Amino acid sequence: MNLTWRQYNELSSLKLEFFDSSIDFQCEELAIALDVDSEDVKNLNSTEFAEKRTVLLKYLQSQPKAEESISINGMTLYKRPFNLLTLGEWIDLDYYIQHKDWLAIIVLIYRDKVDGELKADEWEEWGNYVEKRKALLIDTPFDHTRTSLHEILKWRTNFIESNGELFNRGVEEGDEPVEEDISVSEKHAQLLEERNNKFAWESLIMDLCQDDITKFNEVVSLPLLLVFNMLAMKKTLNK
Amino acid sequence: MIQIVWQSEERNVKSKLSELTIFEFEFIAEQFNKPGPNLPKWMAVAEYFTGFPEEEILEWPQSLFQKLVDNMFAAGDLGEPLPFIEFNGERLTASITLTMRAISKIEKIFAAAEPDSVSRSLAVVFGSELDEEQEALLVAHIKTMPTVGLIPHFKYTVKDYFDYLTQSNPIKVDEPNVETV
Repeated sequence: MNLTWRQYNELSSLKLEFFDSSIDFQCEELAIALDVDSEDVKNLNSTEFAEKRTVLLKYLQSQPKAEESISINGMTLYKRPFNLLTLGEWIDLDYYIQHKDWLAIIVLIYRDKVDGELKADEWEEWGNYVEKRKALLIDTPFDHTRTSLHEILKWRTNFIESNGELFNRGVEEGDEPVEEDISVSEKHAQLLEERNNKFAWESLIMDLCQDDITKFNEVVSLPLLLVFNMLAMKKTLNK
Repeated sequence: MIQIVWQSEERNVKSKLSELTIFEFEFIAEQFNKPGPNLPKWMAVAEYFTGFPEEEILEWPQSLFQKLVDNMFAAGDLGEPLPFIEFNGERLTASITLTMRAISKIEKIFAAAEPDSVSRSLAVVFGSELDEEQEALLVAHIKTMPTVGLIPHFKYTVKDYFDYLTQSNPIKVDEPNVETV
């Protein structure tokens, strides 16, 4: 069994509530994985079905080795070391995770190599580069790149843990709810947190730009590690 | 059978599961699947199986009613699953292993919790090739048949379905579990 990203995306978008019965749901899952019509799957007997489904389950639980390079349409893309991410890419990563856009993360990881060096792809003047690259990757084998997805997410978790203080976003001092009016205060704190979360990255970038929007692109192109080292230093010095 | 005597009238009442038709089996199941206290359910069963009206059953001594309750639905030998049944002069063979289509259909039948779930499921086992109209006739026919040889299909053939549902793990699409920052 070897899924493509298209099949994986279809599988992960299936919801039990879309179906009349759980068996129909399971038949559709297997039909997507086998790339056949769900009516063909319904013709299987329960033993055959269970065998094929077990293969699918094992496949999804396996962890193939991440490919260091992949080829699409004659173009070779190379896996980037994650510590080369820029601040802007880190923010994109956060956005893709929020939207469960796993393939966009693969686009972020696998890049062109020009003159022996990995280069971040240039944004095209017209059109969305990420969407175009995703369209190229969608029919590639899921196995070749899925482990890289797990690796970058694990790396990201470690990164957040090791920079724990910089990611702590509690309610600011003075915003604590007053006991006698807890519901209004809670709501206020919640709204404040939602607003802060929504614009947290923009707010950070504008801080780094010292509110000079013309420096925006420069800041988002800075290496992530550099930015976080600086932020950590500033936080320590300000204590 | 048990004998119920009330006001000089003797009634032989079916008591073992193996003496029931599928319709009677479903009738009993329907009563006991209803929510609420058991007494009205037993009253309905007593009325149906003895033929005495409810007003008379209410006059019965407690011991007579208890005799009925103690003896009804005694386990009997339900035999082996029938390999085929006769329907409209044709022999309908039971599916030894159900297809996923049939399993899906049975799942929906049970999910709908209609009183005729048993006969409709058996119609799926025996009449997988029938059209809708023929299948409805088969359901009606199965209701008149004895439980012997039919109910065991739930232990064997239809058991595939129950086994499958209870043993299968949900597919966990390998979606990374990550918190957003």
